[in-house]
Amino acid sequence: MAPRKKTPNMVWVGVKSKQPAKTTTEKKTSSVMSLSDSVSKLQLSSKVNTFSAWSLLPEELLHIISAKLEDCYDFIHARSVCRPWRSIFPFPSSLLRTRYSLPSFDKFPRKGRKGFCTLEKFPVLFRVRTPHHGLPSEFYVGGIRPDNSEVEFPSPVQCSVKIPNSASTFLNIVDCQWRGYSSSQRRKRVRRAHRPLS
Amino acid sequence: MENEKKMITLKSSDDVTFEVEEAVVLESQFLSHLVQDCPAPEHKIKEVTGKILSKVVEYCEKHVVVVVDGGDSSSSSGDDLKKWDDKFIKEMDLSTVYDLIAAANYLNIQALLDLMCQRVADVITACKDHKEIRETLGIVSDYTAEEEAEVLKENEWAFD
Repeated sequence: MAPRKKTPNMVWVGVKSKQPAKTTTEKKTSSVMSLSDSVSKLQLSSKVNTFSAWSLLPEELLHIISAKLEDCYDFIHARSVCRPWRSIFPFPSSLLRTRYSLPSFDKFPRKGRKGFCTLEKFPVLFRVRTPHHGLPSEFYVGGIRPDNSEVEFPSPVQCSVKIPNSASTFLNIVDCQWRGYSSSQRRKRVRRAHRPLS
Repeated sequence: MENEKKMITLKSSDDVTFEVEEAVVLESQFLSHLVQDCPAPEHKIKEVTGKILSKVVEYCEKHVVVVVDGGDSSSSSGDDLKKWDDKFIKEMDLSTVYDLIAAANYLNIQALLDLMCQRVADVITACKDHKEIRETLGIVSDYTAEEEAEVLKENEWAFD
C-alpha cells in the first residue's frame, strides 16, 4: 500500500509562534482566509490561528467527522457554520421523510391526559391516540419540508396509522402544534381537530 | 518474527528527537513505508512539531500491539485503552486537537485520526447551535447576507 496521498486542498494555515498554545487568543476578525491564499501552504506546525482553519479542513476529514455525528440537529448546526462545512454535512434525510416509525405509545412519557403523548423534536408536534395501546405503529405525516414554510395541512389533520396485522387506518389528529417555522405566530398556532376516528 | 527490538529515532521539525521501538513507528502507515524505503536510524519529520510528535508517540506507544516471546499478540485490554483514549482527548485543547488531526492524517494513523475526529464531533454535539460552534472553533461565517438568512431559516425550522 502506498503512503496516503496528500489531498490537494489540504491546508494547514497559521503563523508559527513561540507562545504556548494555551495563551493563544482567538483572532476571530483576522481568520477569514480565502482558499486560494492558503492552498499552497502545507504547514502542520501551526499554533496561532489554527482555530480559524477549522473551516478549511480537508473534505475527507470533514467526512470522517460527519460520519460521527448522530443527532439530526447536530447536522443542521454543523452545516450552518460556513460554506465548506455546508457542502460536506448533509441535510439530515430523517427530516425529509414524510413517514416516521414510532415506538408504541405506551413507551412515551405522557403529558396530560391518559392515552395521549407529545412527540418532541418533530417538525410538527402532534398528539394522536391509537386505537390499540401497546402496539408499535407507523405514522405517516404529510407535507413537511424544510423549504416549504407555507405548508398548510387540510383540516382536520390526518395521519395514516399502520397497526401490525391490520390495514392502514386514518386517524385525525387531536392537537397539532406548529413550531419551528419562521413566524412565531405560526409556531404558536394550535389546531384543535377531531378525536381519532374509531 | 523479529524478536529483537529495533529502535528508530524520529526528529520533529523543531529538532526534538524521540527514540521509539520500530513497532511503534509501524502504527503509522506513512512511517512504515518511510522506514522500509529508507533504513536510516533517524528520520526527520519536518511537518510535525515536537509538541505534536510527542503526543503522536505517546498515542502509538499506548496502542502498539506488543509481540511477546512465543508469538502471542496482546495489547492493553479494550476497556483500559478506551479509558486511556478518553483521558487523552479530554485533556487536550482544541488547537492541539487540530494539529493532531493534521499530523495523524499526514502520518496516516487511522485510529488516532478517528479519535481526534470524534473529539470534534463531540464538540459539535455539545454546542447548542451553529453560532456556538463558530465561537468554539473560531470560525468566521463566509456566507453572504442572503445565504446567512437561508441558514437561519433552516435553523429555525430545526428550532429546538
